[in-house]
Amino acid sequence: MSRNHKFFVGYDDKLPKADRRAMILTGGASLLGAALIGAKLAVHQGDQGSGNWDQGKVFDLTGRVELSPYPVLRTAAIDGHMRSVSLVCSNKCGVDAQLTPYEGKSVWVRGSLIKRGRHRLLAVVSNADWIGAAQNPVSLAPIAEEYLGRAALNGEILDAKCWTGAMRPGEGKTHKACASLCIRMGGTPWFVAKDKTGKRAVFVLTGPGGEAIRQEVLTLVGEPVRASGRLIRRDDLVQLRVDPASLHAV
Amino acid sequence: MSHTYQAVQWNPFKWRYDLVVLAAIALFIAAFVVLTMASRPPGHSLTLIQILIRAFGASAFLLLNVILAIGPLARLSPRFTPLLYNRRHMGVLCFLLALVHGGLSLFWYQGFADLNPVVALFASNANYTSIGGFPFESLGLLALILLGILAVSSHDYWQAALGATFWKRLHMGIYIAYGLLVMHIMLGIVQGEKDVIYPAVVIGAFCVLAVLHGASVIVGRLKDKQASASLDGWINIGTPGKIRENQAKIIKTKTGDRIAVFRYDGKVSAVSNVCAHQNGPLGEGRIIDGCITCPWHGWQYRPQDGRSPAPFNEKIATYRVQIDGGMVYVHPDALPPGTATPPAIIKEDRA
Amino acid sequence: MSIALATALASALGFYLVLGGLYGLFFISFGAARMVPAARGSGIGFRLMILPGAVLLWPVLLGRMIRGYPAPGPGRTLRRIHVRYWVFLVPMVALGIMFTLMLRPVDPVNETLPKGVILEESAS
Repeated sequence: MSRNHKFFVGYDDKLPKADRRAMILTGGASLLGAALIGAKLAVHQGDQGSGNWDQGKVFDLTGRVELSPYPVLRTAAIDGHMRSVSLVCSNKCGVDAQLTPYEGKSVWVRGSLIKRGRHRLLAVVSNADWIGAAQNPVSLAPIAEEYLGRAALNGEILDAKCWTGAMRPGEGKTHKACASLCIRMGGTPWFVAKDKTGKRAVFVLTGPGGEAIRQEVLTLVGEPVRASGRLIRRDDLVQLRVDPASLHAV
Repeated sequence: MSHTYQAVQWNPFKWRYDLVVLAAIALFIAAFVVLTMASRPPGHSLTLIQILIRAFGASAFLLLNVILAIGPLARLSPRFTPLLYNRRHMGVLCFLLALVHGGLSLFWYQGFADLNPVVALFASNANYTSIGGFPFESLGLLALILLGILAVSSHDYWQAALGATFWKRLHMGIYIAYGLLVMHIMLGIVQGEKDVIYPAVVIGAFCVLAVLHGASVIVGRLKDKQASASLDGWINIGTPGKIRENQAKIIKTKTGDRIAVFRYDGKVSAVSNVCAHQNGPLGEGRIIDGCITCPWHGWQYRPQDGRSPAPFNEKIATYRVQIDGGMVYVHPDALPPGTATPPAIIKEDRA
Repeated sequence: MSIALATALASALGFYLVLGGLYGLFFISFGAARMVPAARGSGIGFRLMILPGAVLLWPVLLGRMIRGYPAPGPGRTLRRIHVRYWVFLVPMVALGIMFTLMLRPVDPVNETLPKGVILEESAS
């Protein structure tokens, strides 16, 4: 402590000159530093894709309900092309139970669209009146199923709804708990794989016989995972059929 | 001091101090939110809630680093001692930022399910046995609880109610919270975000803190003058001229106690170096208006009896002093707090 | 963690806070001034400010109340404990950082993606 250093007492409100200068400098540096660090941390975050969920736009979509492995509405009503629109809950829940009576039937479903790339999901509205038998049966070609061979892929298990636009980011470690909760409560697990150029392929993750798997994959959701199995294309969705026990983190 | 307790004792300096802290945090959050949105291609933004979760979490962690840097900075240079005054406001603010971060995360990630969000928090990420996949959320929750306990017990009242030593020990929990938070971040966002800046900020902040604390310990050791020459158990401090007027010389006894020996008005008195408030180093303070004044929060004691002037009633231990043969001697046995003991009179030798 | 265990944990937390809330109300009305006489006659603002502390720290306060409000011991500098904390913290955190850096996942890319699968552009 220098001989001439005046001594600061908080309740005095008379900051010695030297302290005053030090405090003004410290304050200024803090303000500048806070803005700079905030900006720097913001711009280096990874791109989270173009997922989008327009919750304000609720509409009715007609099509046919498929329940297995995960609920979809086969419809050509969005843009004239046959699409398998995954049916998901507005919250973290499943819709299987409410859909069971309508399996294979023509229905209207009320909800809002979630889209990313070519993927379309319909988040059904959360009140009771979101589904009913369609006035006229919807005529659609039978499901086109094709075996595409075996594949062993690195990728991430995600919740379809989160990744497509309900959550941004909807992948990675910070989202793991959320995706895992969604799938636990009845969400649809997807498997997203990337190639070196950054192109992605999206698969519907199922058991070896094309059945739903949810509880079996919970611990691996949101982590880099290696999955090997058979690829089956059903209409515009490709299933990756795996033995859940063979899934492992990489 | 503990005359009557008030919710917060404000003064203009504290107002300005808090204003700067709040402005810095507002700037950080605004810069983060605006640039996260602006730096992405159209349609590629993050969800606003998720941006806020990140902004509040990051600001809480960075503020905690600032808080932990103030102590050693103040020890290294007295210029920074004014920063000590509102440290607890920053601590409470840090907890509130962390609470917003935690609350939003709980609502957004664990909510919306047919399950209590707190239950979901513990259950949804089941990887407790894995290291890389470890549920970092639990670490964050633990740190938040710790920060909460420290924030709610930061009022001076709690030091009196719990005892200064217990209080101080409790508040050392800040270091446990800090360790938990580093792991929360390293196992969370740093595992997800690819850019090197995220681990770099954590590592950089931690290194700065470690160096500052290390340096302050070393400087403290160098300043500590081990009591050496003694006479019948009395410690020789040297001539009164070695002590600056209205200041003190700190000595450390063999038992590890620190004694602050003050010179003022041609007299010498010795008291415990430990302030009754937050254990601040009284010997680094000054005598102002006849009272020893702590450099940390300005608590005052009379040098003759170690008592705070009325209406306050804090007491610190005093020590016996004598001057013999031009040398100041202090007896290392502490007298009970608040015991009056005559100061040694310095004989002016003008010859 | 199973839902049952998580529920038990969450209920325990809730229980602790409810008891704390009840004790806290009692404490700010009657206990606070008995524990620290200087708090006698303090205002409602101060009492509300110490309420959260009483809610969280109720087992400690209850313990002190049962033991008849013993006067707290004299203050001691805790520099040595302080140093001990740092001596423990630095290697622990450094090790933790090293481990977690090593665990940072590499982007799980594939040499090629299977034929016949529709690929999305990287931007989408």
